[in-house]
Amino acid sequence: MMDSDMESEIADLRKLLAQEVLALDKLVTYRTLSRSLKIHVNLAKELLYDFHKSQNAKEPGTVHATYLVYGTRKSPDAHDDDDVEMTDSVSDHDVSIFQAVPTQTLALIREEALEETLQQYEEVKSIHVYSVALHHMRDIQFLSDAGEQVIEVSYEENFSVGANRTYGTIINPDTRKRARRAGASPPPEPAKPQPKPQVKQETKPTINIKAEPPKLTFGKPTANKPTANTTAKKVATTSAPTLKRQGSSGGIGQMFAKQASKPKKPAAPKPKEEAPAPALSDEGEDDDEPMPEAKQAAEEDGKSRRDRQAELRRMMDESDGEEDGEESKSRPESPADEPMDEDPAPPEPEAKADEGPAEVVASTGDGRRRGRRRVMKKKQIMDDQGYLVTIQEQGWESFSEEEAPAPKPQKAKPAAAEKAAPAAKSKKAAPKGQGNIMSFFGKK
Amino acid sequence: MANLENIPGSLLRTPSGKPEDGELTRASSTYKPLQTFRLAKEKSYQQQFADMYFLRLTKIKPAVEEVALSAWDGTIVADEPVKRVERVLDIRQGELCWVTGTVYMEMPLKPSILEDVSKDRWISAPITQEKYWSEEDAVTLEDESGRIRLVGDVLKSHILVTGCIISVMGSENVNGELEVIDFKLPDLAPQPERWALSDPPSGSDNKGKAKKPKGEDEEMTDTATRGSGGKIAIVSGLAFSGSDASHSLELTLLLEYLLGEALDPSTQQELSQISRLIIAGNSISLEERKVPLDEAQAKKPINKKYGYDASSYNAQPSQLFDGFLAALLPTMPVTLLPGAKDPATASYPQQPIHAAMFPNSRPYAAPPATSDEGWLDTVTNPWDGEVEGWRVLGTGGQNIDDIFKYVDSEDRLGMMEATCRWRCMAPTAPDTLWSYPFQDDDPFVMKECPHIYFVGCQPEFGTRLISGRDGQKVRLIAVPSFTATQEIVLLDSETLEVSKVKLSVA
Repeated sequence: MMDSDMESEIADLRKLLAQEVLALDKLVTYRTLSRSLKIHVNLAKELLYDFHKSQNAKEPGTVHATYLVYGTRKSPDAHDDDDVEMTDSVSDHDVSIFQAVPTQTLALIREEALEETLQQYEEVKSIHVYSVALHHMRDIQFLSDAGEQVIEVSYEENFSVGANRTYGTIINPDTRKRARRAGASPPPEPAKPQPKPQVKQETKPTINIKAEPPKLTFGKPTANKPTANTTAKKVATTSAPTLKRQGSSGGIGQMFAKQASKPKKPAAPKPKEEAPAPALSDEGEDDDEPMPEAKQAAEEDGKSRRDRQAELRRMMDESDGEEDGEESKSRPESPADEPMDEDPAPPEPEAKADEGPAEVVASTGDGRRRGRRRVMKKKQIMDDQGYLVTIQEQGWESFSEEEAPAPKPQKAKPAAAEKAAPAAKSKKAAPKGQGNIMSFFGKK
Repeated sequence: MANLENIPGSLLRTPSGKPEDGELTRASSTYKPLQTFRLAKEKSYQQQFADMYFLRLTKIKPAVEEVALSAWDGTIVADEPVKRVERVLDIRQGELCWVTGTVYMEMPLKPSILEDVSKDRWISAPITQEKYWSEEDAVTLEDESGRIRLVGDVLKSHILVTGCIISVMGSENVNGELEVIDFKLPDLAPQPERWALSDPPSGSDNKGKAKKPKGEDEEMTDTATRGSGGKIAIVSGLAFSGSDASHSLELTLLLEYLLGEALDPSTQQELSQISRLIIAGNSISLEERKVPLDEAQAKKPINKKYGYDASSYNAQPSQLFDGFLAALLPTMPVTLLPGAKDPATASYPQQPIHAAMFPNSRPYAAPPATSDEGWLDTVTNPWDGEVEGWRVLGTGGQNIDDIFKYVDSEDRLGMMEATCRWRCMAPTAPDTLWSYPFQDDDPFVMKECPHIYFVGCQPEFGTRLISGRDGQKVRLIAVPSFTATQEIVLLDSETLEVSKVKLSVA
């Protein structure tokens, strides 16, 4: 029964092979066969032999094969064509250089040359069919294309051990692979990852696929799990692409900012400018970034969060010095900004949503990323006298830190809503004057 | 003569449908690389090269003087006792003496920076000569104090190149030349024991020399009668190329061979004993990287998007090599030395090829800035380390290629042996072999004698076993360039016997 199962299975395989070769006119090597049928290479070799034999029994000369022969060749003194080279080299040089060394020859030969080649061997240890094809092979080097195909398949399979097992590749239990750590990506700079770093991180992952998922998630999580989740959830569906777009949308946003709303610009870019150093190093030095460091950073993350917040605060204070005015200006705009942004880049509403609330909620001007970590949020409210007042709200901190994803948007939204009222007002006040930073100043 | 009928491992048979005998497990590799030739990331090139010669002399002098003293102490030649002099300058005319110093070869054909400078040529011209050697060459011996010309037929008995340290005995003649009667080399350095740095795999240590370590670990026991069947594969000059496909099929065969996919089950079992692949240089073909000069000038201002100009740089060779490695690494650890043509530093010691060259193989490399060795270990050239307990020294071949230019000989193994006996693996650095200007240490001095010394990218295969006065035994292997010979070298990890495998495509 077992046998009959096997028999039928093999019969199936035979059919498939026949189809490949006869119908599709493909060159099939034992490796391509084993890959396409997911069978052991040794079985593939036997199948090829079987196929070659049976086809040529039916109709001689229809299928052409190549063979792989392994063994010891006769010593050079038996003058065979192939040995001429060797003999020459011996006579050329000091014979003492050559210590007789056992040499195995692995030869790939066409079937026409099989007999002749076998004559040259003293001992053949192993032989099997390497490939079959419908046509005579003009250039045997074409077979290397098949080898490349196999490598491509391996790429697709990610060089997995499981696949190797199937094909009969020798397994090595010791193989070590470094987990493509999320490490390199964000750790140190998560401190204040701005849109920019993210864009950068994304570019890298595209190069290394493996790196991508951890990295992407990591970028956020390091900051704090809550946010991570937020993003994770949101991004979950879209994952890489979204983020990418997000990054690029950042670019669009920037373009916008430049063209439409200069006031907004300063607020956002400033922090970016501060970030670049780490961001750049992240991009360029990924290779050199030691994994442990990365891990450490991740671990420390919790500890140092506070420090970073402090740092952030300081940083913000600095930038505030210059930007306060502008920022306050920009703030009202941000709500307006949101829809604006969405229009140009509709494809990623998710990412946007992500960004949106952050902008609204968090001091807007700086966008969500900063909000993530930001300790202090600024709000602008128009007071009853019509002045824009900036207040710093500590309350946001805990929220952006520990808040789980879901809450954030929820809270954020309400917050946005709450604000929307004032913001809307401010918006109304702002729109006209807001297009340009100069106009803002001019107004005042 | 072989018949199709009596081939033991023939798969020319109808599929039996029998499941395979169980998967093969590759022999494990004990491996401990050393960092002897690593340079600090921040390198200074301000210093002079002279320090290297000084360091070399001070390091090797005691060894060669010891040899010389034991040989010549109390020797009387023509009623005259041999006297030792400390410095070259102290040699008196007509007095029989011996002295130690650095050999300097005066060769008219050798490129000379001084000549270039004096002729106002500031760009070093590409070296065109195959050899610097000519009939007019003169051997001189120098130290900090001065230089003296050596004459005498005895000098021809052994190859000498610039930079090696020897002791000579003789007397100065009227021409101010030293008539050499005899000379001594430092000879082989002390050799460490096997397993000096790494622990033998468990199960074999109680057997001392570990003739047949059975069952390296649990998994081994069922598959393997490992015995002395363990092998280390060494290959060089793979020269992956985007345009030249002349040996790409051989490369494919090599991969299949190392993966253990080719051939029959019993041979595959043998192949599973190859525990490591060492690639000794020139893995990537150089030709693609040459940009025609006028063309390069013509289109200078091209947008550089990803660090290189895609229209003039062809990444395909390295991608092919990456694919090769990525396919191989799941089953076999790889040590990768750079060679003259590889994208690494140009001067000796070449620093490791950056793993970023190989995006798909890279996960197997050690994380940067850690000291543990990677599964894919990209190392320096020269490189030393311990493999299966044996001390191994390997180079990508430039050191021997450069010595080759100095001498009227084709005997690469002889040159390798000479470097061992000089205790200096790259004496011609920094003269004609470009080198980093070492300041505190000359790492090319062989403080310890390796058990295995291989040199890659040689025109042909060769191997020899040499021995020293204190029972040192060194296995020399000249690893041929794969492009030229399609050969790989297999080294038995117990007996150090060498065999080779030739791949041929007809």
